[in-house]
Amino acid sequence: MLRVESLNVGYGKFHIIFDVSFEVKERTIFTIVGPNGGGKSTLLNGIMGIATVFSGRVLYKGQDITRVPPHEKSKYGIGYTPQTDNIFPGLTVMENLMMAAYGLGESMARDRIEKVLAYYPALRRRIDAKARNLSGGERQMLAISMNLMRDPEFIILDEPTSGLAPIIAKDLLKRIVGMRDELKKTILLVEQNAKAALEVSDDAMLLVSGRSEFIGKAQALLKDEELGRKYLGVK
Amino acid sequence: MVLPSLEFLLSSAAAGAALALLSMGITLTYMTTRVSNFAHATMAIIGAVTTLLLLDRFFAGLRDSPLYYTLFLVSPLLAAVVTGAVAVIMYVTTIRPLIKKGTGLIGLMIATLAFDIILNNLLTLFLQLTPAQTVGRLLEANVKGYLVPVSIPLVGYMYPHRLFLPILALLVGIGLHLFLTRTQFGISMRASIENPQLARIIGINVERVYLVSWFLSGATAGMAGSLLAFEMPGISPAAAYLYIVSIFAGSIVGGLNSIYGALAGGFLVGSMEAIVPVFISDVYQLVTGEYIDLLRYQRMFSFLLLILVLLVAPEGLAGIKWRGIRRG
Repeated sequence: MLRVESLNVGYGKFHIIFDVSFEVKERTIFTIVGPNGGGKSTLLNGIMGIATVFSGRVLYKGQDITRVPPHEKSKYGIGYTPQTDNIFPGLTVMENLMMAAYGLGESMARDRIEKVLAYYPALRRRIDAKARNLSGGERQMLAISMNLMRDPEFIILDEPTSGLAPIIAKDLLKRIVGMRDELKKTILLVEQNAKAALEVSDDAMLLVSGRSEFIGKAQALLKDEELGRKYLGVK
Repeated sequence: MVLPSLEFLLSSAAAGAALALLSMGITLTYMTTRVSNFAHATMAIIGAVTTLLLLDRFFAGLRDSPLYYTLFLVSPLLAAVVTGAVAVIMYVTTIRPLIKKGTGLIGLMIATLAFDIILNNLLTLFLQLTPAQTVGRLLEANVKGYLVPVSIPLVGYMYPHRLFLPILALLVGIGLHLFLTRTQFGISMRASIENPQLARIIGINVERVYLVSWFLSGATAGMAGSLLAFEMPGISPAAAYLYIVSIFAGSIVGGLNSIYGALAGGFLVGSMEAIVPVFISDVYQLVTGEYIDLLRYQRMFSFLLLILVLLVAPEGLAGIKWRGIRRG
């Protein structure tokens, strides 16, 4: 569904991602793991067109979308949730959802908001609260709900469990699996929480210092003792 | 103690209302595009010139007709359109290209100063070269003579522009609040201010939001200026350099990052500039029997307030936790 071909990405003159290629298949979860500062977020920003792509291509359903500006990617059916600053803290939960539905038209927006609130009932109770007053878990729920508002087929999530208590993180990962199985989404996930994420993923990539050190089945990466010990803190 | 007259209080409120509108406008473009716009006061002068031209060409002859009072409606609306357009031109030709090039805050600020000097000079040239029909001459024209007081029950005689300024500021304040909280475009404006990056990802046209914010900023400046025309000793573009400092003071007292703060800060600074000097010279006269005119030093008092606010509440009026104060 999404194919990345020898992508080189950076910011200004800083070259961060070197010749990375991978493919995400429809209705699977593809997880990128690796040590901090390895360039995971930069790679996503390159795919989205926020960071500078020096060379290489991003193909979505066979179409070259490398140079499509970030705000137009949503029209292709790609939804992206950045790791931080992924909600509008001064806006209420409802206003945040309305913004995520921007341009959809009144009745469709209301319909989608209703669907998302049915999926995340905890948000309904806080619908008029300012987003800055939400708990960490509620915040991520809101961010992912905002992503779902345009009903994207392809969802990119940058470290959704970061900063969450383990039990809430586990619940969130369960919901991400639900997005694949129940909502029929394809998911590209970046995770710090490597072991828990790989356990629920189909395919995976290990990104170290901007280079891909492993691409293959998530289970295979989990079982690879050397890579696990070296980079993922897995015993 | 000398009790101020109701008329004096109302005229001070008008001065406060005008500055509230102006500070609000300068805060708006600061919040959206992070530009401190030094050309903002010249925008107000363009509003005053709109009134001047309307008077000179159409309304001067209508003074004995009730139609004359439509000037106080026609002028602010026309000024809003003209000045809004000038602000949009400024943004599209100067500010936006510089932002795209990655010019820093200081560079942008200097660019607005440069634009202001050009605009101000062109305006002076225009007033100098255009022959007047009824007001004598356009540059430094004094239009106070064209004021026709209206009789208001309980208040007595009142000049319409002084009456309209607080009403206009109130309407703009309420209108803006409804726009920002009830309309999708208004909410998208707040979203773009909070997090432009996310707003773009979500599909909000942040560029259009910025453009509209510049239009609104210019339009409100023009409205305020069109009514302020009657308070000016002579309508001259150079007067902008006196106003701009008070406008910034109002915006900073308000907290720089709050539209409501700017409205309050501008009102406080503007009305203080009118009230305090008169109050002090009244007291001085009562004590010593001598009269001093402090009005020409009025900005001394607003800047004293500015320094006090920065010392006591660095984030301005909007940064103060009012609820906490009330609870004690």
